Amino acid sequence: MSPISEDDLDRLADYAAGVLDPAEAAEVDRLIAGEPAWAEAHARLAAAQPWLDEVLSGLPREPMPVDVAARLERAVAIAPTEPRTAKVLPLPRRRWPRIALTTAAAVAVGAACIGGFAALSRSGAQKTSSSSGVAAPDNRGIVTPGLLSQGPAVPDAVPNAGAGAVPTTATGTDYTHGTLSLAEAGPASATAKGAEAQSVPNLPDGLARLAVPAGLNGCLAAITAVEGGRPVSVDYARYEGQPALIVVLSGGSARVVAAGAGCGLAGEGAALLDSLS
Amino acid sequence: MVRPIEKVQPGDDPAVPDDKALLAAHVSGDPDAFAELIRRHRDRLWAVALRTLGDREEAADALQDAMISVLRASDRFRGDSAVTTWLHRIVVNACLDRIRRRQARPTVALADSDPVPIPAVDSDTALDVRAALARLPDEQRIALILVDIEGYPVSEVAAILQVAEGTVKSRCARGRARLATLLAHLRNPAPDRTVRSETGTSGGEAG
Repeated sequence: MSPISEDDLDRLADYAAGVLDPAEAAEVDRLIAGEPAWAEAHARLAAAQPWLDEVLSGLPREPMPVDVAARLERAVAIAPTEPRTAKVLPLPRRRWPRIALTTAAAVAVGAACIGGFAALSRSGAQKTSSSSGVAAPDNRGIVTPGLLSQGPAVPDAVPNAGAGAVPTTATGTDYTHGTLSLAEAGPASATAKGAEAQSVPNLPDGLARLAVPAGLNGCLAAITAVEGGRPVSVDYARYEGQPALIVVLSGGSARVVAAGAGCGLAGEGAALLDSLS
Repeated sequence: MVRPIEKVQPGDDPAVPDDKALLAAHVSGDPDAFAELIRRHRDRLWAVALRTLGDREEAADALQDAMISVLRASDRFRGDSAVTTWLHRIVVNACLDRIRRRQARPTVALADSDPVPIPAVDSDTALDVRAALARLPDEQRIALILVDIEGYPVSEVAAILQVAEGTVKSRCARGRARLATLLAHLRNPAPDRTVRSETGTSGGEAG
């Protein structure tokens, strides 16, 4: 056990790593010189370094097992060639079928979203519904991707959207794990039942990329690739203070997910912050 | 001291395509290029996934998720970083996704997950270190795995994690400080007194 608190140990570690600014480092210098607990913690930390180097670098490394390598090779072999038909390999691994299903689901959702968003693009900024039934922004606050900067969004009933349309709102609600389930009843419910509502109901900072069709489309595809199912609604909101897309799913392994601002970017995957199964 | 990185790039041999060439070949339709790219890096990616998740089944699933993501995103790779950096970033994010989902439903994860594998060559110390690593905050554990265990340069880890180098150093230092506390019982306590008398007022030796 360290003679100082965890927060102080973090500070001491930063000091030892040389990442504190000069004023903070001088303060830690003073503490080490004047406080026995700090001096002891510092001494322990310094003494542990060579030993830590030795044990960390000496941990045995296991090459990828043959069965895992074979499984991976087969997964990448089928994934790009037949994503729409998604053959299920006759392997005993319980998660193989899920890969195939999620691949097909992602493609289906992606295709549907592309169709929906193409319609949205054609509809422009007019406050009408498109001929395909895709929701356009209206005075009820249903927000069309790409048009979120127009103003506050007041959650409302899911519109009679056409195929592929996902109703979106931008409540700015700050969800937590405990309130995430309230998104299923609609963002208004989350706000009313205790999630901390933000005073600015516009698009939260950091989510602008996801407010355009291409960004949202990629994000939803990434989410369904992981969780399966199809998106039912999207709320541009926050999760534990971070800008987040709250997506309600139907038929997936999760009912609601909170995805971070990097959702859908290459290398980021779904950037999931939390999910509710 | 960190583990030296095993160079798996083809180096100067012009007959062997580098990673970017393999990725480009895959995007152009070469049916074997992607598999070759994965074969080239799979052991290192596996090591990162296994150490991050501590569970063989979950690591295998995370790697599979990650490689499917790579396949889908391969035509969007801009070449701003090394292919290996990009691959590691995707693997780390896939692992983090799984950790977050596991945390969201801890009872399921505990009931379903396989036990942490115990290689025959392992030692009691290695087991203790693994257990202590599992208790670190995720961001500290991942930084430690990449820098202190796998031996990647801080600059590359910063690129993988898309954070500043100072942040990587801080995460490693904080993780090491916690490990030192968690594993104090394994070390000979005698050196503490010696070092305390020698390091009174200035530091900077860690990290």
